[in-house]
Amino acid sequence: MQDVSLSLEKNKIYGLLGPNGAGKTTLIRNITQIFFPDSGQIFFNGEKLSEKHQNQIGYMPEERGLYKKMKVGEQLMYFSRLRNFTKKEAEQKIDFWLNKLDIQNWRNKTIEELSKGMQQKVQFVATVLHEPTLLILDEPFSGLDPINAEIIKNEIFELHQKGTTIIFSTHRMENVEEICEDIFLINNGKIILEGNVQNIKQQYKKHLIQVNVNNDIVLNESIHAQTDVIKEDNKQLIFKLKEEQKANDILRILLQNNIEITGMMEILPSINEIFIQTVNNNTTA
Amino acid sequence: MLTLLLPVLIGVMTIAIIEIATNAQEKLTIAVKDESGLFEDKFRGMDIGESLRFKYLSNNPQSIDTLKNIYQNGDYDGLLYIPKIDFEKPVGIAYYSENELGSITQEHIEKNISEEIRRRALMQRNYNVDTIELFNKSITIEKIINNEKKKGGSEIASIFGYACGMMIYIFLIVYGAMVMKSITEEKTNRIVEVLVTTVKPFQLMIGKIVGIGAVGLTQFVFWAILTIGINMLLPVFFGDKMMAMQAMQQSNQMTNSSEATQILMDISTGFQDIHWFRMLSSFVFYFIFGYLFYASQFAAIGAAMTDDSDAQSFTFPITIPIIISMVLMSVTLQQPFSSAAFWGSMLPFSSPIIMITRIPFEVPWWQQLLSMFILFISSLGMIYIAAKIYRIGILTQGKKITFKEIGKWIFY
Repeated sequence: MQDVSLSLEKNKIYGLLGPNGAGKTTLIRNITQIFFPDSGQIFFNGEKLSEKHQNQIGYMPEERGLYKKMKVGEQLMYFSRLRNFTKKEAEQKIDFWLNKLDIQNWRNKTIEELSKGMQQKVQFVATVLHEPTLLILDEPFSGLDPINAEIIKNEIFELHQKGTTIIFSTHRMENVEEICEDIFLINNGKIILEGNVQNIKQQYKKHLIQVNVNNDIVLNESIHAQTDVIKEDNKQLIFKLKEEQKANDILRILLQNNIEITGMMEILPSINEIFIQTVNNNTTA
Repeated sequence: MLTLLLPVLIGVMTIAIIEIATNAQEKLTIAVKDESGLFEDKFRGMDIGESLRFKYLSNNPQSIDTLKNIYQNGDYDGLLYIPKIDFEKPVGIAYYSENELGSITQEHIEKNISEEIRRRALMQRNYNVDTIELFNKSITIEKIINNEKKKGGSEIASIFGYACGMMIYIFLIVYGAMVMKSITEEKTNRIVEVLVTTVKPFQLMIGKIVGIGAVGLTQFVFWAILTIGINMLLPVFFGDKMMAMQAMQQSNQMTNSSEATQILMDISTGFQDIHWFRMLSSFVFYFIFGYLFYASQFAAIGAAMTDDSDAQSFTFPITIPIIISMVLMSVTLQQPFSSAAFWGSMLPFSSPIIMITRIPFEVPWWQQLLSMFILFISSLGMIYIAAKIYRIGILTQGKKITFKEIGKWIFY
């Protein structure tokens, strides 16, 4: 990592993005104190990051980090006891989470008996059992079917509502758009983009307006002269705004030409598009 | 499961050996026709339990055919014919049967007849019984070590030293490998990435070494108790057969009951010569620090390995000193004060096995203390180096590690 400097606000969900080998895992390992930086410092709640903060951080790695031949209940108990919970406290928390995710039946099954998705759920429980204030999730939906992915997503939102700060590392951009408030994009060990998701989308927008119309229409010359038409088919029109032109101007022009409009929206770039564009630009530079 | 099963399996194996050994002995009743009349007393004491019995027939001369009729019509498996014997040329002794005589039985008969012929030949030359006994006497040397008279032979010291060295050797190999395997599993399963967010890598490594060591020690003690217990119960259920087996072994091995008595006495007094407190406390020390010294190396290697295919190449440098120690142990047992034995008991790679082998031979205290000091410091040093390798190795994925790279990790 090179001169990486970032600041996380409490109780926000952050997306940590980057191509393979960019440095995401290295950054996470610095935060979780697996690695230590050659220079620079990390602060947690205003204090220099140290051993005492370990219990306030929960980390779920991308690869399954579970003992294959150990039973689910025993494994969760082991992780809880590592976090200095008493046996009774650990039992209560394990019971709570197994019931919440409806996986009580798995308590006496070994990890290798479970499917990949089921293991992921157990891994999630092991990560949040100690109620960390900072939660780092690396591809938490990996191997999950849509139903279970939805369950985990809801749990993430619930934890967020309770005040947990979440760092969410993923390659699935649709999850980023849905879940994250802010993102950090890393490439070659450097942060090349950061900020609020909506603000970034606005920043990267291409001033495109999509208009849905009722009938298949052919735009007349007048409309073409006044607008920059990008797409014109299947009851959908896409315009690129000219300089100084606004969406309302497009609307006015179409209405003047008796075009029946059923819907209109600004096309913002997806995080996926922004990711590709930014990384490519950065790599070229 | 193996903790319980192994002593039971050993017990089953012992029972099988007893059964095979006792059933291996042919069940024979042999009629003895002794025309010389010299061996009656001998054959009356040659029976081996129920499996080999001798029936001494009358010593009136009869033809071979008549004798064969007697043995075939009687309940005999064979006929041993002894003619009148010339002690200078004892020939003509023959065994008649429809079945081949087993080698053990043949040896038993030949040995006893030879013994008797030798005794009678000497008596014929006017050697009396006491003189004949004298020929069978063996000499023992009285040892005075550090002005202290030693009562027993050095065989017991050898056996004890060997047993202790062997126990340490087995423990190092078995449980050291277990440490390595466990760490590699955690690395390949990526569990270690979760664990090191909770505990420091050093704590993880030491916890694993101590934990597996404790399991191994418990297993060892359990095995010892269970094995001793089963072996104590064996005579209760298989006493007769064990006695028959012992009788067979004694008839083949011992020419003289006084020799057997002497050996037993040597064993007893040999045990008295051993300084038990020194032996046991030293054993505990070398057991623990030998294990720590080697287990930390296995831990480092386990952290560097990416999968089991690396095992052979990576563990080779660690196992070589252990194997050399085993070879050196044989030399040490024969010459416990040779320079090879001295240096072997000083170098930490071999001292856990070699010094413990030497201690029953009354190694000077300064040598033992020096050896213990070197091993103690070396263990701490090895743990430190292993921790450095472990810290980086457990999180290194996806590439083949070389020894050169491992060397670099020590200095990170």
